[in-house]
Parts: sequence; C-alpha cells; structure tokens
Amino acid sequence: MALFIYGVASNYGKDFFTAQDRQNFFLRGFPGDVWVIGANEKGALWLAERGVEKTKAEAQAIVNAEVATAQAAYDALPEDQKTNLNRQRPTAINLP
Amino acid sequence: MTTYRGIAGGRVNFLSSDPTYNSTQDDGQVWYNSTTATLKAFIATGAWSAGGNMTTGRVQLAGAGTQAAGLAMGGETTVAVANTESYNGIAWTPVANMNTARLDLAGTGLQTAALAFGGGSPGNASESWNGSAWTSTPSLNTARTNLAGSGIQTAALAFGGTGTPAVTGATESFNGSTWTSSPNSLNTARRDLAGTGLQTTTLACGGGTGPTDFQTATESYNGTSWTAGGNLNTARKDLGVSGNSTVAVAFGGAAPPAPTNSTATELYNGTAWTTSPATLASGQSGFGYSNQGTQTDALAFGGYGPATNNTEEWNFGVYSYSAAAWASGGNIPTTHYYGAGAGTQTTGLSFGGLGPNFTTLLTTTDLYNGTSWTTNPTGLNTARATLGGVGTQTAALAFGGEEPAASSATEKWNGSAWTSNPTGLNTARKNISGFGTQTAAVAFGGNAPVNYTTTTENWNGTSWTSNPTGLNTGRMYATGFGIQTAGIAAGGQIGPAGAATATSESFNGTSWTSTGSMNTARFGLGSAGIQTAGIIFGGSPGPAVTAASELFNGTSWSNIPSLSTARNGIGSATGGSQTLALAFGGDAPGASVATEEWTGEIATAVSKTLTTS
Repeated sequence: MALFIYGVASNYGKDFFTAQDRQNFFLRGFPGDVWVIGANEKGALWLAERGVEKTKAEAQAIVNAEVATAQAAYDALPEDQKTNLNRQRPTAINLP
Repeated sequence: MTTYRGIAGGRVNFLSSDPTYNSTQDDGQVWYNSTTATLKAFIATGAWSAGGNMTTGRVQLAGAGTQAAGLAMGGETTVAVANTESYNGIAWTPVANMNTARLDLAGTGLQTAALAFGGGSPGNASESWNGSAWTSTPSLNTARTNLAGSGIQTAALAFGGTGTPAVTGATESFNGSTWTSSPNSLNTARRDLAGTGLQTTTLACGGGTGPTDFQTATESYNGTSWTAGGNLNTARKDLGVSGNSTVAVAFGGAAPPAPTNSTATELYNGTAWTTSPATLASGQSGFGYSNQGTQTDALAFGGYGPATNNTEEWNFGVYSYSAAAWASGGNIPTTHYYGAGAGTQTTGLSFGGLGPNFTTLLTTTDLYNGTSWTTNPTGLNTARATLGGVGTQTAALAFGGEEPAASSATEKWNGSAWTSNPTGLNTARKNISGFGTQTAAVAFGGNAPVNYTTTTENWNGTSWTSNPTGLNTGRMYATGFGIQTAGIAAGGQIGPAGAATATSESFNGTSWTSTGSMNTARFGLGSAGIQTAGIIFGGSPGPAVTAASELFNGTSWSNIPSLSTARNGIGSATGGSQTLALAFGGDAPGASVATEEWTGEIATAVSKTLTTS
C-alpha cells in the first residue's frame, strides 16, 4: 500500500487544515498547491473535501513547473540583486 | 513495533466529547477528543491540601455543604457547643449559633439551607439553617447520638447512631416538615458512621458497634431500602465521606488497634473501594466534612488530630494531554517573503518584505486577529525587506533592512500608523535580526558594512546604542527571540561562504554567550518565545527549504512537528510564545500567502471538573 496520496488543493486559509488533521495524517504542502497526504482514511477524506487527487507523476509535474517558474524569476534578477538578497536559485523538489 | 492496541487490546477511543470519570476503574483510560484535538487520559491526581483554620477548634462536630461552601455546626471544645461557622473555600467565618448546643450530632444540606439533628445525651432535636439563623423543626422519632445524615434540607435522611440503650440502624427521612421512620434499617446497625449523597442516593460507610469495633461495611440507600456495597479497605469510625452511592471518597477516621487517627483516603465506584495513594496530611477522626461534596471536591475540618481547628481540602483531577501541531491560519493578503513580524498568534503584525516578483520592496502592513488578516491603509514610511521587527500589534518597532541599500531607518508603530524615528541604527544594515519590545530592543547581525556582521545595538525607546561586544559568530538572515536583557540569536548564514548555521547565542543585555546548536542548520527562519522557552521554524538549510521546527529550552534544541509548507524568509509574530506561535508568508519557492498557527503540547491536571478539560 502506498504511503502517500497526492493532490491539488487551494489553501483557503483558516481551518484548511487543523491541528487535528495534522495529527490524523501526514500533510506537506508544495509549490503549485500540491499536497502530499498520508494515505489513510482521514487523509483521503481531507483531500476529497478540499481538492483533486493526482497521481504522483502529475503532482510532481506541477511542482516541477512551479520550480521552473521560480528558477526563471531568479535567473532574471540582476546579478547585484541576487547578491543583495543572497537568495539561492530554487532547487528541484522531489515529492516523497 | 509495540502499539497502543497491542498493549491495551484496543485502539484509542475517538470521541467528540470527554467521557465521564466514574471511578478509579477509569484510571488510565485514554481517548482522543476530536472536538478539541486533544489526546487525553484519566490519571488520578488526587491530593489533600491545607485549608483555612476553623475559628473555634472542636471535635465530634457535624458538617454540611461543599468544599467551596461548607458549614460546621456544634461539637465539643471542652463542653458541648452550638457554634456554627461557614467556609468559603478559603476561610471560616462564625455565624449564628444553633439553638441547642450538642456534640455527636449529624448535619446535612447546603451552606445556606442545612439541617442539624440528633446528638447530645442522646437527643432528637432537629434544627434547620437558612444561611443566617437556626429554627427548630420537628424532632427525630428515634433520639440518638453518633448518627449520620444525608440529603438536602427538604429531603434528608438520618441513619444509624446510638439510641437508648443500643446501637441502631434506624433510618428516618425528612421532607422539610416532619421526620418519618423508614421500615427499612441499615443492614449493619452501627454508630460513628459517615454518610453522604442525596436522600435517594445515600452512601453510608464505616462506623462501629462499640469502642473497640471498627467497621468496613458500606451500604447505599435508594429512598426505600439499604443495599450492602463493597467494604472499605481500612476499617474505621468517625470518618468522613463525600459523594453519593456510586461515586465517593472516604477519608480519615479512627482505625484499630489503638485506635489511631487515620490519614487513609479511599475512592468508591459504586461497587468497591480503592485506596488512594494520596492521604490526609494529618490523621483525623471525629471531624466534620462536606457531606454534599463530591468525590472530586471534599472538605474535612476539626476533629481529633494535631489541631482541632485543622481543615484539609481534597481535590481529584484528570490529566489531559494535547499534542502539538501546526494548523492553517487565514491567508495573508500580501504575498511576500523576508518581511518582519510582531505581536502574537491572535494579534499578529506583518510589515515590509519582498513582493511576489522578488524585486518589489514592500511597505505593506497587515494585521492578524487569529482568524484573518487585514491590510492597514498605510504602511511603512520606508519600503524595505530583510528588516528587523519586534513588539506587539499596537506597539511595534521596525529597523534596518534593505531599501535595497542597507537601511538604518527605524520606525515605530502605534497600532494604526508608522512614525519614522529621528535617528536610526548606528550601523545601517540589511538581513538584520532582533528581539525585544518597542521600548527595549536588541538588533544584531546583518551584512553591512560587511557580510555576517557581529554588530549589536541596544534600543532604549528613543535611540540605538552600539553594544561594546558583538555576536560571537557574525551572521545574517538569523532570527531572534526574547527580551533585551535575555534574548536568543539563532541560525542564519555565516562566513565566509554563506553556509547555514545551526549555532545559537544567548544575550544578557551586555554580552553574547554561545549556547546549544539547532538540529537543522538554516537561515531565513522564524521564531517566537523567550530565552528559556523558544521555538524556531522554517528557513533554508541551503539551497532547499525546510518545514522543520524546533523548541529551545534555554540550553538545547529538540525537534517538534513540522510546518505543513516548507519556506524560507518566513514571517513570524515575534511576540508569540513557545506554545502559541504564528508563521506567515515566505518563499516556498514562490512567495507564499500561507499562515500557520502553532499550538504547543499542553499537559494539564484539571481538578474539580473531570468532564470538562
């Protein structure tokens, strides 16, 4: 059985996930409103009520696109601003 | 792997509300309250503590009422007395005397509506108390002494005692006007017993038939007849009991062989008594007690013991445990990162930062009310990012940052607007950090004029003063929490290559001392708390971002549940605490609007109200 389920859900703010949810199942957010959720009944229900389930590959593709956008934004910065901000180029994210 | 199910034989109950604690048989019961997201357990936390001394010390008196509203009546000093005193949970106050002075009487009812009956030589006198005066009522049918009572003023019960000439099990009920003999007597006739509960839920326990007899017998009365229950573990007489026929606590009394004054405390579940590890501080017998109290709140006063005016209060509680977690808060309306924050989890403040395109410096100021953010009509006077922020939602301080040049600008927030301070930091710098309040703050680190500076400045509410000594490790993009004279600097980037550091330092108002290292090195992190109880979260170990969170206890760091979304340059309500923190914004990558609220682990022993915690 898979450890995680994957989905896209827009974080609407307060109570989007609760302390109870965090104790009921693993939950981790990623760019592109991608969420990795512990594969149990409560986790599945949480996603069903808030978003759309994706395959891992689909979720990974969304994250990749977001990271690529962030990388492009970083690359477009003048070199002095990169230094000023001491901001490092976003790196690839591999979903668990 | 060992599991709870494997140990307990079942899964943890998932309940929408707390179950009722019925007896010590429920001890160890674990459940999850889905309404409050709290893992809870019933664990006996009973204890006796000292109450206020009686004004008139005495023995062989009677009691009524509850722990917080008790009543003492009659008894013996060197002679039989009619004294009455009321207890408010803290102190005893003398009130009007009974009409008939006597000892070895029984009492029942409430502090403002009680009954006193029997006692004396033996007698059958009965009196009612309205909170200010005693009025004689029709007498008991069976004159007796050393009896017990239960119920309220208009529905009471008298039982047991010594009549003329023998020990009796006679039972009488009072309807507010007259005493009526019940056809059913105690199964075990006895004197010096204890009674509690209402007329139809009465519990009688202990007592004896003579000077050398000590009973364990327990009986319950349902309004019609007596039924034998489980025996006390410690045979005794002249004891106290509080509760009713299904849930009670018995305490003290005279126990064999001497007899000696007992400290033993036992809990009853309607069937059996269990000896509590908690005992009276001093052995007592022949005392008064709150016979309308409960198993969780009882009162013992007067009697034979170290002092005849001694009072002890019994409290029995439930232990609850709430696991720590981050939960989502209202989304912040301004997507940004590397801004600053102040305030608390329910009164948060966010100001400045970089906009979503990573280049726009913001003046935006947003306020959080625990549910949602509101953008203030006006923002900072100087747009900037990587600034420092301290204070509250109504009295904050912004300092330094990048404009994009290193800034020395210092601004004060009054809850609705920012005002530029005439003077700024002595050393303009960006990527600065700090802690403290609007009137007493510390600024440290940053990268101007050089990267990873150790420079530290103290703010007195008006101006900044350079501290003679700086950080031990120069750093920028760090975080700080605490107050001006007791703060912590944690994480950040250090030279020469800008690596993330796990080190932290404590500040005493004058100098920095290196302290424990975080488990995860990082920069661009958020924080809250005080020097001995802090929390940090998020940031970047470089180049990835992390959701990891850690607690600081003044010495060392420990891992706790992570943020749901890893981010760098995260904002935090710097006035929050280790148990109530707020994280907002940041770069995930991509500027985030997410807010997360941290509620720390809470373990409490709640006494007196077992079903509400």
